[in-house]
Amino acid sequence: MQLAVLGLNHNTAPVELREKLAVPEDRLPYFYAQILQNERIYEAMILSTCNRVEYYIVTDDFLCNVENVLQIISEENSVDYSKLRNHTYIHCGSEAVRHIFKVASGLDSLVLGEPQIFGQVKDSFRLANIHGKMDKLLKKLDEFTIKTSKKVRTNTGISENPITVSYSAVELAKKIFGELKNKSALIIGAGEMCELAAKHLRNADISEIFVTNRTYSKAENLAQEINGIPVDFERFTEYLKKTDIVISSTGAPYYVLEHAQVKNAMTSRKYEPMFFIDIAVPRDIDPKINDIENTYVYDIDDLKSVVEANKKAREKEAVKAMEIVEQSVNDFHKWVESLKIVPVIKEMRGMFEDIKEMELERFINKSKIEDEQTKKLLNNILNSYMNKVLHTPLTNLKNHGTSKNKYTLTEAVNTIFNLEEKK
Amino acid sequence: MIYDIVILLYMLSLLHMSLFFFLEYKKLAGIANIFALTGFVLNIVDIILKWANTGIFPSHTMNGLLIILTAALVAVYIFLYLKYKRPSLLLFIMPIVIILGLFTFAFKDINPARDFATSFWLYIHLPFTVVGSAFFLFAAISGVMYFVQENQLKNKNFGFIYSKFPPLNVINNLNKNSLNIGFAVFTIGLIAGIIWGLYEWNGTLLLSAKLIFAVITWAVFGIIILIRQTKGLAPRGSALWSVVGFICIVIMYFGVALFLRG
Repeated sequence: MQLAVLGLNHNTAPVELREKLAVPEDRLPYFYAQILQNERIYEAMILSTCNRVEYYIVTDDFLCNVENVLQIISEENSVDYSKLRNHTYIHCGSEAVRHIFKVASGLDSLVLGEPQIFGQVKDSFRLANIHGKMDKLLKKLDEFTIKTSKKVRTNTGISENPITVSYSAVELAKKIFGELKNKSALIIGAGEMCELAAKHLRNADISEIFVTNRTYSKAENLAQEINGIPVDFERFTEYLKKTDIVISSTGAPYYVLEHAQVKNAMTSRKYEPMFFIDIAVPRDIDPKINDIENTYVYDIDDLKSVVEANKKAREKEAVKAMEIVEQSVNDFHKWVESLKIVPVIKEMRGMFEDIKEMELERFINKSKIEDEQTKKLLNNILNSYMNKVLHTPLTNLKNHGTSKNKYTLTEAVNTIFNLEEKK
Repeated sequence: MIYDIVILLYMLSLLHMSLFFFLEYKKLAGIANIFALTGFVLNIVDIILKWANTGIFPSHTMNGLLIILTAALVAVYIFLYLKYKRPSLLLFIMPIVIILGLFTFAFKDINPARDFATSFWLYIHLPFTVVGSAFFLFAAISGVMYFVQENQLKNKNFGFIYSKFPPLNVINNLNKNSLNIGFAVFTIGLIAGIIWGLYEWNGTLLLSAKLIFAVITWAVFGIIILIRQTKGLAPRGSALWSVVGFICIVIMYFGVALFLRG
């Protein structure tokens, strides 16, 4: 029995093809039914997200059945088979296991380390359990995938460094203020960037957001969307003294915020820290404001360099994450191999049981023993003898049966005890 | 013998925390804290055993004082760790603890055996001034951390330690709380010291160099806190003065104890 995965993702297929092959949740039962019609596919799981469509199957004939699934995908989605084949990757065995661990940990994602994929993989396993078929192997794979992904996220900083400008601005704010719960922000401008940053601030539980724009109605609209307070553009400087974070992105060709205005505000707020994020080009905030004590001014270039540094940091963390993935692949491999040892152990014990029963019966008949207690005693003696004799070889078989020399070991046991022949 | 193990545990704690800083495996920080906690428990056991064996609180020798000081520093670290969950503090405090601990081997033979070591007021005075000083050391450490972190944020030059240090506000809070708690505890210790001087020594100890420096230290920290409370001192100023105040403590402990013998 072998695990195989076939699929395509943002690296191997264009979006036109990916969207054609995507399997929405309501179509899952139908697709599972189609795949599982093949009696030699014993388990199946479909993972379908905006960046990838993957089919995980457990089969005894890898090559033949993978082709069969590809045929089904091609026919059901009306996609040319050879075109589909060209964009598809296929992995089997440990490669397939490594692949799902990497996917769930965000190591195969378009944005390295993005956390959403973990939930999507978890959901896919859950749905496969309902609509598809999950037995021993996929259930164990589900368990290992969740464990590995959690380990990667707890033991590495793969998802810690933000790699979008608006989110990294909010993370910088957290590096100054700690929690943003009791802080307030002023958004100058009502463009897309401001909206994004405001939403991130809202998610970080900021207590108040003031929104100002030259066109008051636009400020009102954005304020409504993010549960903020619209402020008249002519009066926004009055709000500086009670604002901790200022985000500005207007189209003004001059500085919207001057040094003197902030200096005044800082005096009234007794030099409580202020953080200025200037996403506008040309800039809205006078860079000299950064010279005032306890003020921090970041423009778009500063934020971009933060993002670049964060990307590099994530790549570094990915190396650490791969070590965890490799360890899990090994552990999973060991578990799969241990499945092969179990029948050998059962066979061996069974053979000894048979001999014991046979000899006991022969001895009882020959000696004409009638007393039940004596029979029981004899049985107990033989059982105890057999268990003691078998204990060491069976323990060693269990412990070393999953190591590299497992084939020689299991083969040796089979040959010595004629297990194959007896079967 | 027990104290040798204590120092070894503190060293292991520092080693694991340093590894955590470089490798970022969170388990290492946990292991480092376990070593620190075990070391601290043994440190206390050692103090109790020394006290039980001699019948005198082991603060009458420089050696004993250092042992109490290391326990106080680690105790304050544990207290602040539970409050702020910032393992980076250990990286600052543990080297100091280890150096102080290693000094005990140098002072092993010095035993002035002063007869006032059993006074009740001394039992109040010593632990409180030592714990108060430990808090002041953390105030100084957070002061240094504030400078480093603020500099990185101002100049947008994020070094290796940027991500490891807490947010500025948290460091500022740590500084403020360390100063406030330290000052309260130190004040109790100082008052007990003055009473001890008045009653046990009929005021002759009141003009000792150590006591004068203790009063100076108390005054420096008192002024920092007073200015802070009235909101006249920005976090940067508070950070700077915490460091200055701590230098006073170092002079008080070592300068006076080693050179002036006050």
